[in-house]
Amino acid sequence: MSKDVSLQVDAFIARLRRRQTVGSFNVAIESAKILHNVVSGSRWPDQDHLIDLLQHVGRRLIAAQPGEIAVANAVRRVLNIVREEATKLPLPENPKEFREQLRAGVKQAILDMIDDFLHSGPHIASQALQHVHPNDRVLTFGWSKTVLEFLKEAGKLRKFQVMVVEAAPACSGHQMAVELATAGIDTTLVTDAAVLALMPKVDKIILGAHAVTADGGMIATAGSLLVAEVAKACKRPIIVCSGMYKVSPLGLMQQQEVLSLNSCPNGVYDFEEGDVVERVEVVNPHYDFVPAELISVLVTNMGTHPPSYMSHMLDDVYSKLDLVI
Amino acid sequence: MKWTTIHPAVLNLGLQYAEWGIAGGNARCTAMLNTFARVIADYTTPPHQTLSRHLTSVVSRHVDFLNTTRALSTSMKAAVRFLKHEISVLSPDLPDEDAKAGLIAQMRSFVEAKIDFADKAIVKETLDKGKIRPGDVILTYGFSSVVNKLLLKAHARKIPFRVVVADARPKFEGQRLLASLVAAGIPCSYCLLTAVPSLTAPRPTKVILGASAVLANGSIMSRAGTASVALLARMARAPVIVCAENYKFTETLRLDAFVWNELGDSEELSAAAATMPVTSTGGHVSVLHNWRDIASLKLLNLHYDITPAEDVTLIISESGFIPPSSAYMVFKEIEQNVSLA
Repeated sequence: MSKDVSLQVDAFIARLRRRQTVGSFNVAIESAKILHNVVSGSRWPDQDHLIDLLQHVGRRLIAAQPGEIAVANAVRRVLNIVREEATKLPLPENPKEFREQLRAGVKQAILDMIDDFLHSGPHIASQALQHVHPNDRVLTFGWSKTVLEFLKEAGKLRKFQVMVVEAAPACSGHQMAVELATAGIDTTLVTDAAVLALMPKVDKIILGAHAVTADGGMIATAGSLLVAEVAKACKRPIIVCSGMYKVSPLGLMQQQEVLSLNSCPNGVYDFEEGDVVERVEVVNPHYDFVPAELISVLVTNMGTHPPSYMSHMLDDVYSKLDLVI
Repeated sequence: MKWTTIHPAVLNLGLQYAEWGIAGGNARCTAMLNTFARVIADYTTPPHQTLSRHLTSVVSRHVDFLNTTRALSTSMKAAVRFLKHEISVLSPDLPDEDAKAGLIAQMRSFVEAKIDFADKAIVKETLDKGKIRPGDVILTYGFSSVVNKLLLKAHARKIPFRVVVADARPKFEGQRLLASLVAAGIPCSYCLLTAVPSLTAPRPTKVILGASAVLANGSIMSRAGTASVALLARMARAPVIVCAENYKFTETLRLDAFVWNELGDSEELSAAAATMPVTSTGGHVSVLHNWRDIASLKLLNLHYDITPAEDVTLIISESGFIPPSSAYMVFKEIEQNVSLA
């Protein structure tokens, strides 16, 4: 690896660690760009060495912030690109020529993939009219850029109502409600506690994901499971919007580390009440796992699918060889 | 309404209701009767009027005023019905002083019988029948005075158990319960409603809740969020126990939380975020500070929800263990006993 690339990798790892680069979308694109530079700015004799190198860099990126599952997804997709590009090329007669052809092919494929990431939001939003109908009452939970784009797209043509659940303690729903309302959509911000009271009046639930697991379940902001369970009890459909960069080839069992992330009690309980808080276990999880059976459809940039179909779609972008890096 | 015709103690009480200084069905009912005792003590029948007729209108006026500060709870309505009934059956021949003393004594005994004694009976019944067992992990939501008494008593009886207090914005009423339990030395966990479905270590073994009212079809009216907790418990196969005094049983039937509800101040939702420094708000300014300027944005702050009878395993009142399906029967029985008495 050239010194320049090596510095880039270190800098990115530092940004991940310090949480200066956050959010699935940002980390997926940044990871892909870094890996693109690794492919172009390093010396490697053949694809096996390239894969070794990418695995080595990938492991470091993943370890920097295991909660950002999209990093691991990007690493695995790049590894799969290398494997696919290598099989496309004729058998190597001249190793150098083969190497440069592979390099060019992999670089182009990574750029195409980044392009895919960049356009996944609009691709998902373009399906909004299939799902949001005139006079619908839609319920959403917390902040999601993907869901925001989706609803704004539908709002260009249709009149409907959105109930935004605030998602305490971070209350990311506040920002969501402000942005939706500013876009002219009839928006009502409600408390988490009102979810069950409102559910019978709601036509459908649209949720964003932090990650989608191989079995079609999703990891999402804590509280999503509450909404999903209540929706199920009231027999309301749940639509999950997620870019393919969030879809992980791993199942739930390999993601336990992410799910056990517990935030500090800040926002749940004031530290000023020190005498009480010291003797109490404050439970404040970051994420929930919403199992596939609670999800009606997954809308990705590849289309609208039942969650059970997710495992088939994974075969197109991931190699089984890369499940363990 | 002329403010001058309202007794100052009631004005003061109304303010406390409005600011949620006094909240919860039992506390509001007790405070109201205690205050009305002062109103009645200060009352003199105007010339050419009879006490039983005129005092009823005075009580009505004060009740109407309290209703403007916060909608009357089912417990308060029951107490008002009781008080008006007691006034109406007063003998016209009775001297005013005797009538007033009698009414005040009646009101005291209402609080003692319907709340204090009832809660003692509920606590005793629950513990004697072993509804809190060693090793239990009890999930509760918000603040209920009878649940508080129950858990403290169970701890005093040396039953080793753990409590998970679930809570929600904007009132965080569960923190009051938490402080009380922790002070008594009960091991506690605390979480927001959004964390309840993922509570696994330790997993709650049962749910114990309070109620604002028990409706005729066995549904429970309680603080918004209660219904979610009960639903999640049913899905996790944990029994849901509701503690409610007999006087909270009502013949009202509400099929959803929209037929009747109480709307809280929208500003509570926008302002409370400011007290929580969140990265998304960039400092301490609420994201919603200018929400009124956004025409298509509304804030909804519901106070109550309805827990359907199917999510309730058992209701415990001073009459004993009641399946939700028998709630109306219990109400009728109580009503009959009152009219017999």
